[in-house]
Amino acid sequence: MKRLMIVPVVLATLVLGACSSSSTSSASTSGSSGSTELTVFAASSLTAAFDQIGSDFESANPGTTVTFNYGSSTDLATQIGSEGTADVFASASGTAMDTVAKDPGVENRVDFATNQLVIITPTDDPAGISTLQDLTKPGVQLVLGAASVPVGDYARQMLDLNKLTDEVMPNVVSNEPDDASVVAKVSSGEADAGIVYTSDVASNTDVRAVPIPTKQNITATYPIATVTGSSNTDMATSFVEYVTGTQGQATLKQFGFGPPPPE
Amino acid sequence: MPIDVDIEVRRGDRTIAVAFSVDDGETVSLVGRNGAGKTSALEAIAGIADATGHVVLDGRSLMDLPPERRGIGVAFQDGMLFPKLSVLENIAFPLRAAGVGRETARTRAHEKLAELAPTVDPATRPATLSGGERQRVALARALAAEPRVLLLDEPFAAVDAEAKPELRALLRRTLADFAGPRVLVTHDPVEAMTLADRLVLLEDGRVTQTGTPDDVRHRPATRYAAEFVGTNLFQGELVPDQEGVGILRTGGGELTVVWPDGLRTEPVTDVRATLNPAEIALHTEEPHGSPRNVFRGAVEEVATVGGRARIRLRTAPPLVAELTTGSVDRLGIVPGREVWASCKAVEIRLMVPGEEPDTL
Amino acid sequence: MHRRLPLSFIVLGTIGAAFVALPVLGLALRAPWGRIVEILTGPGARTALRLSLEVSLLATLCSVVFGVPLAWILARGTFRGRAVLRALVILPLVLPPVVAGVGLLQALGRQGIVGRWLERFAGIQLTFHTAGAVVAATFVSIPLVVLSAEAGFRSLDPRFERAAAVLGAKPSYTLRRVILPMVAPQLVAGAVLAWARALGEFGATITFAGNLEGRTQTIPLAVFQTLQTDQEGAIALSLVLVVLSICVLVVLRDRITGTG
Repeated sequence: MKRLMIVPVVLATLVLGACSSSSTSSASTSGSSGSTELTVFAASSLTAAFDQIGSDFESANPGTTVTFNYGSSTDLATQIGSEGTADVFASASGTAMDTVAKDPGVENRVDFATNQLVIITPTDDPAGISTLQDLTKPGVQLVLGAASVPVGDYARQMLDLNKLTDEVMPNVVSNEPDDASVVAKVSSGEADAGIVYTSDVASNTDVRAVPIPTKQNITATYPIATVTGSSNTDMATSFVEYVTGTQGQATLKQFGFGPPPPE
Repeated sequence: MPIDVDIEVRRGDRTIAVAFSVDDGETVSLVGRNGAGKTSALEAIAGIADATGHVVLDGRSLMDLPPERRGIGVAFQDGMLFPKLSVLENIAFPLRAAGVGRETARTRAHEKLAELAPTVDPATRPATLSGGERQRVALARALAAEPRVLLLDEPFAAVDAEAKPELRALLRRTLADFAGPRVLVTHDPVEAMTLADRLVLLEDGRVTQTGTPDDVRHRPATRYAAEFVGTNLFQGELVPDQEGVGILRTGGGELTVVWPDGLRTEPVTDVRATLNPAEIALHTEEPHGSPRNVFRGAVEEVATVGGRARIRLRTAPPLVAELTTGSVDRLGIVPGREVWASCKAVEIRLMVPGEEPDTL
Repeated sequence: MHRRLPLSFIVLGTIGAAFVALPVLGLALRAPWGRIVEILTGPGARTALRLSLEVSLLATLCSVVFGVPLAWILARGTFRGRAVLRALVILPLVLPPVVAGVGLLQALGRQGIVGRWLERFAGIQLTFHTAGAVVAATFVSIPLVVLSAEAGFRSLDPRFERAAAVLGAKPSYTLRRVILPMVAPQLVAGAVLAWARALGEFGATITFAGNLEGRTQTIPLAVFQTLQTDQEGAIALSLVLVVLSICVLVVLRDRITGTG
């Protein structure tokens, strides 16, 4: 019956529509194909900084193409474990790096940057947030990263540190898959406040930043390492050295990251 | 008259113009070939087709009223029974739609069902019914809400030949019991001739004749009218021949007729004549004897209804003869067979314009 | 009959079948069958299940309540721009769900064209609330109801409606007693498809309604989040959706092959 032939078409579209690729991973390719291709898995908070570092590295190493796979560090760690295409992993949390260290293993692991947390609000600050304490105000619509992603984990650690967990958590209205999503929710005015990395707001004028005093803040340490089993160990090691070297560090600072903790 | 119709309906690029009135207790049959516009006219009266003009019922114009407020009951071709409702629910439909309570509606529906289709199971769905049963239920449904006017659209179209006589009898009784005006749309001559008080003939969207069945039988105005009532119709110039005898020159052939008494002996144009098919004798060899009109031709078609056969002949002019099926068998009348058809001049009835209609 | 099938077709067909069957098989094989009851009755899973059922059923209801009249208008209406309206209604079917979510934000978010008035005058906020999840699910599933219902209405002989009118029925009575019963099978099929789509909705939900346990975290969102920390748990939850989908397909099997 002709009228029911739409059903298979509809079903096919249903199946397609119900799927969704992870909203957090994105890949960027710079330059055309060269003699070496490097794949770097990096935390999404590093997106802007590493894009810059990537193109700088390519200029410094002609013939090299750096491809980035950004996402939440926990997601990426899982992917590396099952896919094994990463040459370098730059994580926002030590835990995620530990996971990769177990399987398939890492080399040249070094902490290369730090990040702190900051509260963000829409530019018109509808809920009147000026301090951490203000997040406990009833009715504030707060957005965090999910507990399973580093930015969410750090935020919860920070709240715990300040003994505000019980009062603030009821105000959480959504657990976003990564920091970029938190920024998006706040900059669009959908949420009243969010907690993200300081690097996220460094060049962002769409949100208002409410700094958290260092005493109340926590520091996220970012490790980077080459992944065991990579087919480009030399270039990968080069990349890690670049990131920890003067150029890389300057770029990271430019994008709002703090220096790595002293050895 | 209680209902006056004078409408124009547009169907595609054709216009159908119909005008007639129907009295209480009178059955008018709207007849025509398929595609003549009868159903369109009916739909316009019922309010489900757009039309210009007027339809006046009991002094009130119906034209601006939606179909559900016109008080017209319709039994549709094919019944149009609602497939997901039981027979009883179908019959009760107009009552329930009008707001009648469930129990009352069911009781009335049962009554109507018992009256018109006693053998049908009220709980069954229409899909299981035969054509005749469907038509009975449709009739019951049309009458259930006691409408002011009853319209019937080709009631026998979907009914087997064997079931028709019984249904015809039922319809006759039902129509007789219905006090208001009734309009019956059909292309079947037998239905129309036996059920109607008056006929309205529709050809190509135009009314070509109205009158009682007898009127039309005796004085068919068109070829179709003649075919409908089952008679032969000729048209042409009448010229005098010998003493008391004339020749009717038609486009298809010549007929020898009796010169009408009192008519001036000079050629007359535009004369029409009818010849009852039963008055034509068929022979398998050239006949001798008194008939003035003898025509030779091949049998084109033999149509049997009951015990009678109508035979179309490719003679000059073309003729329709009627014989018993026994005679047809005995003579060996089959399509293609060459036969001789004869009739007496006196059996051809002339209609001379301006003169008395029946001159014989 | 098999002899009439070219070998290449058999090979390609088998690969196609395997392609579709393998993920489902994979889920079934890797599922933590030993712990599955424990996982699925745990508080997190129960909440997600309950919420998913709540959201999907409400979304289906909304889709039917608004979609069936819309389908009627499309089937019987004679106004210009009908084709445009139909294309618009079908759009959510082909739009990437995240894009749909972004669109919903622009319309019904707190800063949205309509959303801002909802908040200001009626105190209604859809984002971050279960209602928002229902809205997102309805948006993507209403086309399924409309398509199915419209096909049903179109297949109806319009003479039935005319007959009903002549017999004295007002349009609403005709719709209720004559038309809807006749298209009931198509309406049910549309509703079931809509329900299945609403159950599986992810992109628009997470973008528009957010992700919070008990309020907006339906099963697909829960699977997505659980995947990061507990793969087996995610598989268990995924199986629930697979089983539900298979049930839908079994219920609709005749309609799918066009023999309904």
